[in-house]
Amino acid sequence: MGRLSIYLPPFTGDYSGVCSALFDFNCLIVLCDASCCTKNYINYDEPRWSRNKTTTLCAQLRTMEVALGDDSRIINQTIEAAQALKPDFIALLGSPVPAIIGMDMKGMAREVEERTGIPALGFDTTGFVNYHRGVSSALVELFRRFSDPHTPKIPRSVNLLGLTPLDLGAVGNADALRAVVEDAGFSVVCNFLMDSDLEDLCQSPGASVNLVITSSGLALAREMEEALGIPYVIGMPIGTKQTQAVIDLLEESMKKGISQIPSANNQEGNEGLLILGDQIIANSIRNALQAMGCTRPVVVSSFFELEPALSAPADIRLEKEADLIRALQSGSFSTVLGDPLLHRIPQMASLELIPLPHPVISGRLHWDEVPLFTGEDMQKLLHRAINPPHQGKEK
Amino acid sequence: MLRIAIYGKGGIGKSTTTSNLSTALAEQGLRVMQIGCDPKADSTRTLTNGQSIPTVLDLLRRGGSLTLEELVYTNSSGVLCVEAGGPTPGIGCAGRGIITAFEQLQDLNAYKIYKPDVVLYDVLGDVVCGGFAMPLRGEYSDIVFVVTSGEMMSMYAAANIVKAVESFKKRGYARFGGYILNRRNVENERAQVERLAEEEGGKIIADLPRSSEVQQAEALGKTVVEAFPESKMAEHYRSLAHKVLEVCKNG
Ligand SMILES: Nc1ncnc2c1ncn2[C@@H]1O[C@H](COP(=O)(O)OP(=O)(O)O)[C@@H](O)[C@H]1O
Ligand SMILES: [Mg+2]
Repeated sequence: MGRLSIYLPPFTGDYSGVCSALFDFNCLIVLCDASCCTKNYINYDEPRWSRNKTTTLCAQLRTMEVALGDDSRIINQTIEAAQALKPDFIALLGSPVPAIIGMDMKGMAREVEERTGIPALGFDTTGFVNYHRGVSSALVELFRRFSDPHTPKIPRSVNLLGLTPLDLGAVGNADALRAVVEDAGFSVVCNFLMDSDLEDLCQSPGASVNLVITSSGLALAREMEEALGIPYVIGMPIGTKQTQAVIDLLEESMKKGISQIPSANNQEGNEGLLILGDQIIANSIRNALQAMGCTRPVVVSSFFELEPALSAPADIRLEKEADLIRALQSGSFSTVLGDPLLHRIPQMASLELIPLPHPVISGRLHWDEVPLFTGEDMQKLLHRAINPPHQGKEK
Repeated sequence: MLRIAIYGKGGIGKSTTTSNLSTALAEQGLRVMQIGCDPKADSTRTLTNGQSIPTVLDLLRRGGSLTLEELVYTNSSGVLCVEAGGPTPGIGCAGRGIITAFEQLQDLNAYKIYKPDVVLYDVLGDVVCGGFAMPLRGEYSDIVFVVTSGEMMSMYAAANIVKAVESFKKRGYARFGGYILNRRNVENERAQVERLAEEEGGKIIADLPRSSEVQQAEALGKTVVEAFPESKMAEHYRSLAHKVLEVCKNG
């Protein structure tokens, strides 16, 4: 069956990743597609329309424009829209057709900027790669464009990197994460990128340390370390002990000026737990469980990025649904922690499924059920996952 | 890092000229990377003893992870050779192929890791789809040279490329560096190309004679500069190298 998915829906693409990262800004987004990609993003990938600030327009590419490579109409209409809407900046995004014909999104953005005087960014999104690439490139581009490298250092301050509703839903995780970090005596400079504005972005180089909470924040963390010497810590604060561990790493990283990456271990044994999701979130869940005394083997797997440097030896990079089915059939696992739609896979029937909705898989079907990662529900989920299904569950 | 794109009609002598230019630049102690952007994938043939090297698209087609060492072949003069490659003839999209190969090099951080002083893109110039314009973009090149003879078809292709560079100016693309005349010994050749330069703008920066040493070297799987370092033709390529650097430097 090659790469065909029989049970799971298609996952969110890179253009939706960029759109969602730009959502909180007063920004004009023009997605250069025929219409389907825009519709995907608007209907299936964005949970926050009730408090919309961005305007997302569809360029409505037509055959002749594609055949002739004529992008002048898109440029002119973008300029018209920008003059009417007066956004703080403009973003032009590609989709499969522009990717094939080599439409130059960055070049078009340069032309729009020159003619309107409004900053414009071009994104070579293709729809061929997953959301994470989109979020990641949006974070990096916005940082390059709008941050002020001469911002004075703000003592005990943190940027949170990799916040995206595509991993975290729109249930309040951004506020909750901010609260955890502030309770530990840090100030948050910029949330990359939920609930922050251009002013926060501009000040972000002033942070003493970065906290990377999903894989989508990793590229920016590395860039800020290289360009500005800001160290980073990797980890989502989940559960009491792991949260303390993350805070300790922040303190240490700030003190020594060196990045801190928690180690990742699978333990030996039977009745394993398979966690499916964003690598950094899944790693953090594993660390939380191990900090709570979990002794069953915990394996992280992902359809998205799985950085070898952050993986434990038995972790599994999934190229396709069949890889997941193979893992489920291996006999190594008795529990799977992941998106509720996994129950559609017949091989799940004999396994316990602990649901943790991942919006890039199940979208609007379950995005309201994403838990607060720092809260009670997550704690309950950890208690459920710590032991195999037929053993007495911890309270 | 100086980034140079060499365009021109198929068969006009881009790969020959670029490979000799690479070798001449390497002789000066520069670290050169030559990237063939033609589905024929024969740009670096005379740099690799006539052997073909695996292309970026071949390696991507194979699947699995891919390392820079597999993509980049370092030849005996120290020139770093890369071939973008292309789809099976008759299917797919050669332009998208070029784009994909470029993205792959970027993803693998090729330029940061090898730190070449000069990158030369050898690009098929009579295919006019978006992918083949990719090396013209400011992200990739600083300057474009066009190889042409005095033949009509070759000058026609050259004029199109110059027009494209001109019309993309607003987008921060590479600037036009001039024409490299590669002679085919047609009548009034120099005058023909001079007229082209007058009409389209730009200067002739080099005048390369037609020489049998080119074929002799080719038969040995070598560049003229390497095979016949003392020859007149090698001297021509060396002065081309100097001229190119001079044009690049003088804004
Ligand atoms: N200055 C020259 N003198 C003699 N032969 C040449 C010269 N330049 C190119 N050629 C010959 O022309 C042929 C096509 O050249 P090539 O560099 O492969 O063209 P392109 O890369 O533009 O398609 C080659 O066989 C080469 O030997
Ligand atoms: Mg060639």
